[in-house]
Amino acid sequence: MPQVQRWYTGFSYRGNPQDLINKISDQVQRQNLSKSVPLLRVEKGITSRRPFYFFLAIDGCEVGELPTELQTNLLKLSFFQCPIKASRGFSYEQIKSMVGVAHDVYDYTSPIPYQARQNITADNPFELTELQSINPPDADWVKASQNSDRFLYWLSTLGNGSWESFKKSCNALQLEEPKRILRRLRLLGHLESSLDGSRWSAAPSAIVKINSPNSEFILCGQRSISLLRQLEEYGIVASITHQARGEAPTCIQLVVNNPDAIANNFPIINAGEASKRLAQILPDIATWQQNLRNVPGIVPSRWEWKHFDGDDFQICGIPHETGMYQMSDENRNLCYTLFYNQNTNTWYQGDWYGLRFLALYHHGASCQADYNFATKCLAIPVKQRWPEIYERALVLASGQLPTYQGNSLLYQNVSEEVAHLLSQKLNVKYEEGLICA
Amino acid sequence: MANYTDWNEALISYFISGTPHGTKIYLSVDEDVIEHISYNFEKLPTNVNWVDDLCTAVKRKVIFEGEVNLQDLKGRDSQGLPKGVAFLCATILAASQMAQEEKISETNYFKRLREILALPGFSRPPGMNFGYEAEEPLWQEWNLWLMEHRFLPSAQRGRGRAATYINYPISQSLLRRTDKDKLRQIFQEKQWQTEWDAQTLFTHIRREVGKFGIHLKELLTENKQRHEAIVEALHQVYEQWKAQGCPTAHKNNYCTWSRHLFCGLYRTEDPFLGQVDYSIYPKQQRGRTLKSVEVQLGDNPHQLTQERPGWYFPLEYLVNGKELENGAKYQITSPDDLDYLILPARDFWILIPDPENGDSGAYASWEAPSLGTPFILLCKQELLSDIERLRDENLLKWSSTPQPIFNNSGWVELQQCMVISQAWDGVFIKNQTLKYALQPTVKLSISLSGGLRVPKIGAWLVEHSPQITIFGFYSNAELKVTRLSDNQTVLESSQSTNTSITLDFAHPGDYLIEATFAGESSQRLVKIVDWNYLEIEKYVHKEVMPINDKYHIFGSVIQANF
Repeated sequence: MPQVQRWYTGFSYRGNPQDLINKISDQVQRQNLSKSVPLLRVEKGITSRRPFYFFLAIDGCEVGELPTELQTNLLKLSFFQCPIKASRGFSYEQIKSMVGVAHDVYDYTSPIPYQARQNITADNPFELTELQSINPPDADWVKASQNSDRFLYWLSTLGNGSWESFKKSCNALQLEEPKRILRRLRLLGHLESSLDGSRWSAAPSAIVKINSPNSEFILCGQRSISLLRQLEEYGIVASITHQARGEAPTCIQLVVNNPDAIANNFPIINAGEASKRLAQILPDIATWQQNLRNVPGIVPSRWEWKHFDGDDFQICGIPHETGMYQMSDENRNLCYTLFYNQNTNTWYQGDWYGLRFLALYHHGASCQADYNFATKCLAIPVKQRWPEIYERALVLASGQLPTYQGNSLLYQNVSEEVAHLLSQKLNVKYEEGLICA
Repeated sequence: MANYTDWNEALISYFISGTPHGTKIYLSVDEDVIEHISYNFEKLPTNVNWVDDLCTAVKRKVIFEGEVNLQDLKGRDSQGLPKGVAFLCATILAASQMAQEEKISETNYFKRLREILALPGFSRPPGMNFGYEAEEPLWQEWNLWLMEHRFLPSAQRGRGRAATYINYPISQSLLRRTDKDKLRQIFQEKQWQTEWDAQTLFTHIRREVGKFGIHLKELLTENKQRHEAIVEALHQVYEQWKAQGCPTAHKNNYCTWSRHLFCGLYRTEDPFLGQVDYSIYPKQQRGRTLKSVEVQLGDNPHQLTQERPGWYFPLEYLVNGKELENGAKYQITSPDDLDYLILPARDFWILIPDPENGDSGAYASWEAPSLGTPFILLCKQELLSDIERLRDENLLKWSSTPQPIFNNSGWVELQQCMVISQAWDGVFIKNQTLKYALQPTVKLSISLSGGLRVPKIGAWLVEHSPQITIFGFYSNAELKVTRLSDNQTVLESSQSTNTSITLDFAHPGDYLIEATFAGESSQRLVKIVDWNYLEIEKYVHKEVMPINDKYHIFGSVIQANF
């Protein structure tokens, strides 16, 4: 079978270029000539006053020989009266000098429109801003709660994934603010992220003993409809409680007299009194700071900076003092929120609220927590929210995210021991009071 | 002697083992395949003629009192496998024997089939009076089973009275005995022994197309959906020939598995720092189930574990510039009948987004990019002039300037490449392998995107169905969606190509999506599940949060550091 080869034939024309393009294109399509004439190339920026070059790409068996069908059906048009002479046609390189590198190309082969994929945005999942207002619960919160549960089933089935997949699935389920959702899921013991935030992995299914004289537990980690059904049939599900505003998966409370039996009969780990244990082994704030992820290689002069003054971020020069900073590029696009230690000239990355808490600590701000012994409720000012891992210890005491009351976050079912221990470690002024009565 | 059930299971296992989901499966059974499969029958004597063994098992199963009775082969066995596959393979043997020796016709085919079944005569054997009630239900069961297991079927009815049912077995054969003999002859003449991967080997064979007979020539030059299957089949012949010690053609008298595993490349990128890494991505051998494979990389042994059908998990071993340039061989320490894991030396790699999970950010050499899929082209700088020529001729586009990788390696990446035109035939570049790799072999392709996907099971959640785009070089195509459970057509309409449409798959189930135009068709399977279907993935220790120097936590579980 003879080999098809591509070559170019050129013409000069003086006249309306758009008319030329339209009529040639029309004729090629109408006469079904695209197999022989895949492309038309025309000089750019032509006016009607001067002659210009245009070239037809020819896919044919003989270079220099125009297929008969073209001679009959196309070349009789008036545009082709002034051919550029060449013994064996032109190559692409040869025509480039005549039509220029940036010429107009008309493709008759029904090409697929080029569309680049949306690049994965490099947004840091730890970059939060302070929650400005708490939306009152509306009728949709039941739907939001159902979607939150479904999201956890999806996470549990995948097991692990990228931050990008996490965001896309939030979007598919109409769950807003994926960064906050990620944080809430960590607080509730349902998943973990990698230290740079680029990956997440679902935590294993676990029962966690909550603060109670009875054998009350909560279910954390991976879950599925099937597992919940089995636990119900086993007779241990005590209650299923929606989180406030449906903004996280429901809290499954269990009554478990024999945790070992659960661990033997189901793929569930007995995590014990995680809240108390965590409170006992968490370090003090200074040690916690030292263990934060170190971010090397920052050249401050290459970035724009804002400094946290205890209330808000203010534009500043190159950082010199210990504190929390926002690092932006020259276009003021936020890249990272970091904590700077001037003593060691080290930059740290961590959860946003944790870095803010560190900033307050270093500023000497008086952080406080109020505990109601009767209700076992701990209140913390919203603007003094604790670092995430410490907050997790509070949340795991009940399996419920904190609620808002005025300017305070209220954590339920926290034991006095846990509240006191954590407050000490964080250098928080701890008072017993009537708040959240 | 292996019995019919043994053969049935072994044949099914052979054709899907090590095969990626979405692959179109051809039951291209011949003597070589039967020899390979016989290795599964460990306890049987080695001097058996295995083709005869299969035929005897089939005869014993289906022949009663001089008639063929296929009733017992309908439906599935206790393991859920279609019962008729071994019989279908016998019909394929008949078809391939016919094709090699004589003209393709119903008469000749049934003559061959009767020989296999030891039933003298020429026409349809007694008991198989009508194709639609005899063998066709077995084909349909096999096709349905494949689709339920996320493979695409290839067997279909023929057009025209005489070819209606014999097209089923005829469509399954790829390489004939004569084709393989000729290939081995070329391998011997050219003294080829290099460790080429399938794509590179294809280019070398393609150059010799003038030396082949009509059938093989057609296979090498056609642009159809079975191109990938043919490339794979050619590579199997080559690898087998090398494993046999590169014998001359007439000395090919035993079959053995290739002694090597090949690998591709797996690319990851830190989304924040932009660091790009390439890992070794081992491929499974088609047709073979290996219980345990261990590879020595540097000082460390690595166990290969299946990540997905056709592939092992990428190894925690980053490819360096030298290995990319020259290829590499890594010693396989177990099992004994494998020698090396081979990273082939290539001039370029085509890396596509994960077909199971496009949001993962990973790119790898899973398969050729389908129409409309942007990919990364990793290549030697010296190929840039060829690639720019393709862009100049409006065949290929990409999004930004080539990015160098591995300082001073001479390799670059081109991002967001996409093939946009079908008119490649007249354009010639220096690197033929690159052209064969990029030139589209089809004119239509179906893409699924968006929705809420469950990558592990290749499914979408009900109420969160994917968007469907028919990519192609036609302005429109006929779209048909069929529910597999009851073969109901859910949708049949004409659609514009290259534009997304949303279909509401209201009910869970398996669906076949077909796009057709001008005699060409493309197929894609989609599974829709509801929330009850989701099962918890077995926990594998991944991300943890450090608490202090002694403990870490994952979720609610506190653990001491190791």
